[in-house]
Amino acid sequence: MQMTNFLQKYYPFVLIFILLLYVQKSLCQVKAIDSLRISIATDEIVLSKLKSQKETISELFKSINNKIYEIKLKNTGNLLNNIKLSQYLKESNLYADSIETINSLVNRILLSLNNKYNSVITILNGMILTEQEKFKKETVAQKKIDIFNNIQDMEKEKQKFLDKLNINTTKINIETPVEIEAGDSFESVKLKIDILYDRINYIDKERNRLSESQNELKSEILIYQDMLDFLAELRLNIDEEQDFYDRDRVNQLRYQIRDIKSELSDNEIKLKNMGVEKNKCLYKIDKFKNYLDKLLKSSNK
Amino acid sequence: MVNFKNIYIMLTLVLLILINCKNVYAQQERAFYFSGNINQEYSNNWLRLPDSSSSKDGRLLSSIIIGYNLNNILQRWGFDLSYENRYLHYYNLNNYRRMEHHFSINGSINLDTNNILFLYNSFSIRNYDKLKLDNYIRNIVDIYDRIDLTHQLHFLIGYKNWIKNYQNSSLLESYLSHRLFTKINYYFNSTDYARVKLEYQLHRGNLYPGSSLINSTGGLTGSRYYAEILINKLWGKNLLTEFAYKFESDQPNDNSSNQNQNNFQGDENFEDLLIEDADFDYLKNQFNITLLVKINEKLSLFSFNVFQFKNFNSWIVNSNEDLRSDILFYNSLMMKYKFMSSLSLNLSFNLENDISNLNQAKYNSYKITSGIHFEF
Repeated sequence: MQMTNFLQKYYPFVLIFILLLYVQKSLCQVKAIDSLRISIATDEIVLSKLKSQKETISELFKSINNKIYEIKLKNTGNLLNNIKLSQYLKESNLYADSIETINSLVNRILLSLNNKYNSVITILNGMILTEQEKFKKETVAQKKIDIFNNIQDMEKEKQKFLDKLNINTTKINIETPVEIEAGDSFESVKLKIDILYDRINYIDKERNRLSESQNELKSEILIYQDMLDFLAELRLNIDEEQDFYDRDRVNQLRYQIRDIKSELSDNEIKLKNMGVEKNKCLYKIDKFKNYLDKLLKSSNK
Repeated sequence: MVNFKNIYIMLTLVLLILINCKNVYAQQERAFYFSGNINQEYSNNWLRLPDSSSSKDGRLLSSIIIGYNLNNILQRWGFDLSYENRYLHYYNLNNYRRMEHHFSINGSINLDTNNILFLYNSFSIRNYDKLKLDNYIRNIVDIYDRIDLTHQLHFLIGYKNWIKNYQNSSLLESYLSHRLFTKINYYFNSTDYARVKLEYQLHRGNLYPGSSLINSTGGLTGSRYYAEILINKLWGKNLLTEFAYKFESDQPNDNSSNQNQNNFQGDENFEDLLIEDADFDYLKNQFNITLLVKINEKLSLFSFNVFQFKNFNSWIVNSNEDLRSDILFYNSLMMKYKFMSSLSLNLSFNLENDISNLNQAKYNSYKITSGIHFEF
């Protein structure tokens, strides 16, 4: 029992070591805030890149929709045009999907940023309190000034993160970038309504597909979890020395389960976003129909 | 007797360290977990002897696991700390009653988006009530890096180290092994995959207590080459299958201390002794077949089968100069029935049969287990 003898002998020293760790906690706080600052800066860069990507894709989405209007306006029934139309519709849905994905990524990063802002603010609050205590106890004038300046800097930084937190609480909306534009004719608004109906059909199909895949993923988790449980049982029967199975297999299973769980939660978010987008489309269809009614009434007058 | 004071000290230390970590890791998600098994078991041959009459007995096995899981909110890293206490109470074979303590740390860190570093450490203490000479401490370190070449193709490279020390015995040689390995995992889809593993191992000393390789000159050393192919497939929602083929070639290293120590003797009577000295100088072919059937949400069946063919290169067993050759068959059938969300009833049947041309190595044993598993 070398290990336990060692512990018995050096138990007080180990306790002292742990007490020293407590003292080091403030140092760890500084490290934690530094790593959070770096992580916030990285997230903010990614966020701005995503936003610019979204703008580019939105432009492409608009231009493809314009092509769709043109073909639908011609309405020749020509086979070539029909092929082009279905191709453009496919592309339009792909762009809409990309915008959706970016929106959900942006929302996720915003959420994580909010958590980080909150963490930094909490740590800064703790550090400010510690510095204030030091300030009260300090008697040397120069050191008092230094501490005061330090507190001021931390207060400023805290305010900066509080401002960012307030901006971020206004979440980005999920948009379907089909809008009535100035000069839209009766026909073009009708075509935009058609596009929205196409989008709703597409969303419904995707939701069904995704719901089925969710059920499959859930059953995969159940069976992998069972496998893990049985391997844990097997561990009680077979010594590791027997080398009958590779323990890494257990780790691999754990990571497979974790990956599936993260895919499940991603899909859950996608499903919710699709629901929101469908409602938006329905709302827009109503709005466009009202606009058409108004157009009709004004033309009758 | 188990020294509870030592266990108490270790547990206190672990708890203090965890409390200490609490504020430092304020940004992480944490979760304690608690699980375990209480099994009633019977075997006709616990000691794996050619004549099983003297070693049939029942035993009570309890295993309690307390764990603490830390995960970074952005999944940048995570780790798991756990302690398992295992108590094995034999009703007649009093000598083999024992307490085991298993401490493990399992961690991973994302070095890059497609590069994950894994670290695993398992430290075990086995304390017999009476067979003090067989007590051991064991530590296994496993560190490996996973590089995702594509979404489907993962490359792993790592190092594993085993240390096993029979601290109360001056006769048993400590076991030490260094293992370098590389693996390639190919995912056909999200569930089915194939794996190839290659490993080189340098090992020395007694993997099992009671081995005859007692010496005072540093122990026998051997080199082992290992290759494995594994295929895993999920059929529908209810059937998971796994097939593995493993090849091992072990050779004693060509040095003077080995020349002096390469003498094999008879068998020993210890529960976890498979076949003494079976860890050196052989060729092994092994096939594993695993089946898991999920009958419904509560009931699952599991079967784990091993067919092992082991041919020794220089172990002469009779006057005809035949070399030792073993065929080992291991079969485990298990059933699990879940109830009350955190409990499950387990029943299992294990069969182990070694057919060998060395009479002392032959054995046939079965074990029946019934027990409750809980998890909170």
